[in-house]
Amino acid sequence: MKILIIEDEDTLAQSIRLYLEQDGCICEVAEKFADGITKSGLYDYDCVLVDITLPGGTGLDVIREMKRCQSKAGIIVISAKNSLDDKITGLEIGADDYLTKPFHLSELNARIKALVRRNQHQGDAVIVFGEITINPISRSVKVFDVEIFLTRSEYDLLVYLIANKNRIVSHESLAEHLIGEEADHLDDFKFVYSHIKNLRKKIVDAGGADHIKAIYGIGYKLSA
Amino acid sequence: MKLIQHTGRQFLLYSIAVLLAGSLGLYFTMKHLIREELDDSLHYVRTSIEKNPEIFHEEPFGQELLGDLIFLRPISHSSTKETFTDTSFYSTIEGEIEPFRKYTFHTTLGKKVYEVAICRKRIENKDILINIGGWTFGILFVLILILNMVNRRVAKYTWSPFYRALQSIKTFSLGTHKAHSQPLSGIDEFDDLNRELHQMTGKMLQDYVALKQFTENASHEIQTPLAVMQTKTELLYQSIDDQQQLQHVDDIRAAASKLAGINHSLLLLARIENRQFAEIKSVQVDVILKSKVDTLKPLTEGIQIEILHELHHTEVLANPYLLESLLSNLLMNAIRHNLSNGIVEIVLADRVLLIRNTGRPLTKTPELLFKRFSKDDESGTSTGLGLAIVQEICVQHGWRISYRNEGKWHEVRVAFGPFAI
Repeated sequence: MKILIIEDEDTLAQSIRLYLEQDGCICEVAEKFADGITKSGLYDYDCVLVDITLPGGTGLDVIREMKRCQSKAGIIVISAKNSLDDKITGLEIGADDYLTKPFHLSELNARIKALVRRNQHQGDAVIVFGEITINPISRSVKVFDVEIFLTRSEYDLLVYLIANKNRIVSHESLAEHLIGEEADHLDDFKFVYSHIKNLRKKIVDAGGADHIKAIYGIGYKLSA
Repeated sequence: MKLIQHTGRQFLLYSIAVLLAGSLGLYFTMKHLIREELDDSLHYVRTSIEKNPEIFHEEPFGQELLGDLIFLRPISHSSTKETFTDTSFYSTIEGEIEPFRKYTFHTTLGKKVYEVAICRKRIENKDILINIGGWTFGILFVLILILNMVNRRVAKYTWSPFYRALQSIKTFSLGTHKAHSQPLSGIDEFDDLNRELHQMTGKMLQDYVALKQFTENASHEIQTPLAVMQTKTELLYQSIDDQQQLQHVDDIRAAASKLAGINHSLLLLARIENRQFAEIKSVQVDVILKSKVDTLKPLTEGIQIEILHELHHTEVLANPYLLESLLSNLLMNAIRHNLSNGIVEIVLADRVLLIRNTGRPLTKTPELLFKRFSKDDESGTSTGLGLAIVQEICVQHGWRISYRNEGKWHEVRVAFGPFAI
């Protein structure tokens, strides 16, 4: 998977690159507006991450340019939390998703994967992880070909963990994935625990292996 | 007392004193003048009598001459003594006792010596007094009338720039970003006042805007480093195996996350106060609430909190983002401060939103609830800004918010007021 990161904050861009490359993605970073325009025009990417505030221009213009050139890449806007207008404009002019800073890398990763999957396979791709098969369209999950019935939260957690497999995913990012920015107000993330517990039980009951490992006090890690 | 009444009263008091003194002076002067004139003319009568003694040829003499009563009494010794006295006679014409001036002197008519008394009707002192007094009171009455009229006009027209300025100061608010300004009135004092007020409020606004701008800039600048910290800790998770070190990293993450929360809230507060959410439209509260409740289902199901709601269709004029923020904050508050297996009740009806939740008793006074950085639980990750934001949003939209505690039930009530476009 080829990803272009248009972000002027170098440390942030490198963190994103590192995280995504661990999954075998090929990442390029453009730190300036002109770079962003050039690179997004020259090469084909599966996904482009665009920061709105860039030296030399606005990320919105990068998106407009990409849309003008009929780029097929998925576009995710990453921007400061307070720019609500940017969010609306960004989505209006053709961005596929929007993420506000500060965000969790695991969330970004999951969004990229979901977006690319939708774009490349017109959505009919199934997610396979060991004995678990997920159909994102019907939101159905099978363990060894036996369908298990998950609640919305359990399903979302499973897809999220699979997208970030072999990595520690923090309680906070899971909580935010489930209820959005309201999780900011929370003192603890006990509710994540109860959903994960049920999810594990359902998979194990269906004969699957217990892939989800609790990292005490931190979060969870799903691995084969 | 109004200034104009005060000065009017002073003016009136002095006017009364001057008028009284003036009328007294006038009374005495007039009395004196009239008497002098009377005495002079009586003296003149004496001269005519002495020149024409032949008009008196009968004794005893008492006759009327040109309206004057003249009495003659023969005496043996003559002296130069003459007296003027006030006296009164019964007038047959008028049918009442009339005041007279009597001039008595000794003179020789023919060969005989007489005491002559000439009496002439005089004006009564009482009459003079009544006349002067009447005029004085008349003038006073007219004066009060005119003063009142002038005061009224002055208050209405001359003082109107002052009252306008006062009103403008009363309604002055930093949030509106408008300095005090009034058109020239043509009255130096008021123009001076307005000029100074304009400068003062302008300076205040400048300082205020600068401060807010600073808050906003600072907040914005803090965001990026926080994002870096958060992503770096996430990267660290992946490369650390040691549980204790992982815990340290997680503590850093939690701290950065809390900081990000505070920063976000402060920024939001600053932007609300800066009136940066000016866009107002009709928003359906019930729809937003319903979707919030749905969004939070993973949370409420996870910690087994029951949300009961009764949502009637309610439309309000609001900034959609702020309204959503208000509802989020209230809802999250009701969930966070709940008991295990607790209940949240939401009732939206008659343009009033009630959010009730079970919970532990408050440890601080309810008045402090809406204050910034005031929190019930010092150890929690709560920023203590949520209700301050709620309060600010309510103030901005002119909604009334109140809190009530009844046993284990905590209730927040938001009255949206009438819907008006």
